[in-house]
Amino acid sequence: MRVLVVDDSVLMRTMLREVLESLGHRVAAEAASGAEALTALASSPDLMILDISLPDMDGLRLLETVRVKSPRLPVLIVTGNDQAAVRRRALALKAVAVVRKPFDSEELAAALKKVPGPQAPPAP
Amino acid sequence: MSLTDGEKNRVSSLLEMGLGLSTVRLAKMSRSEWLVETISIKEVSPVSLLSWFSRGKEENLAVSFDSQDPLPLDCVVLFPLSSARSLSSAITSSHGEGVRALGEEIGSVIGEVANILAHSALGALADAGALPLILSSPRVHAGEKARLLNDALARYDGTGKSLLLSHIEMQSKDLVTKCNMVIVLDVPALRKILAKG
Repeated sequence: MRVLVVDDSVLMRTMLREVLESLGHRVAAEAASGAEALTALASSPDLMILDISLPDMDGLRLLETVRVKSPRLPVLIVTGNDQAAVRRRALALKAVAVVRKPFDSEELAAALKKVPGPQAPPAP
Repeated sequence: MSLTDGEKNRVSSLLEMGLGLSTVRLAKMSRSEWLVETISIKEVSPVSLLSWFSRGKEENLAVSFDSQDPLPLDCVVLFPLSSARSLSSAITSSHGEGVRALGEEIGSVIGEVANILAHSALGALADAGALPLILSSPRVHAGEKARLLNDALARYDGTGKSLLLSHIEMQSKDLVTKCNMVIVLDVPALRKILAKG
């Protein structure tokens, strides 16, 4: 899968890149803010991995916008915030799964298995 | 605004429980064993806090967060710079080359360590009131402790606020390091949480 990684922390983006590559995926683009993420949607990723704490908007608000701009894009939340209330809201916005940071490769691999395969293009 | 003894005990207990949970998360991040212990949590006045922090001139790294309704708060975690360097190296050393190289970018690594501590502690508090807590992205600054604290508490006006200071010790096989967490809580919001718990 080609993955768009959205996290304000260069450390977390690097850790995600290392784990994703070890699992055979490719990072299509990285974004450190909500605005950068919206621009990076142009790279047509197969999956967005999204942090909730971003400098310009919270990740759940970004997810609401992504649902409008790219409604079929699978989004996996990776966050240090493991509150039930936040998890419920993310899943209500059709996040594929919520993975708690820090994560190990097994946890990320298990969450990636929940990502649906590439979608067929919409019928003309 | 001061908390009652009962409120202080309940808040301390929740924060301490939350900080204890960060042990597992820190271990996962560093791929090594850690122990996170809360040495003390107490309510302090801003004057005594600034006076105490003014004693040391050592360069520190401050990581600050805030959150808005329904649980408005400010939080700053302060690490002596020398400890921050050792901690950053310990966290990244067992990772691949890309992450190890970031060990030199202390602000990024310590920002994530503080993120773990803050989410663990404050998440326990918010959970007690079944409230969602969205902390801001960590903001990292270096400088003298008193100035960093002064900057971090710029929004503190004393009205309906309580200032808590926690001393935290983090131990791994090869490293023992300490940090301070300062939390500015909105007392009316806090009392709503405690009423639910």
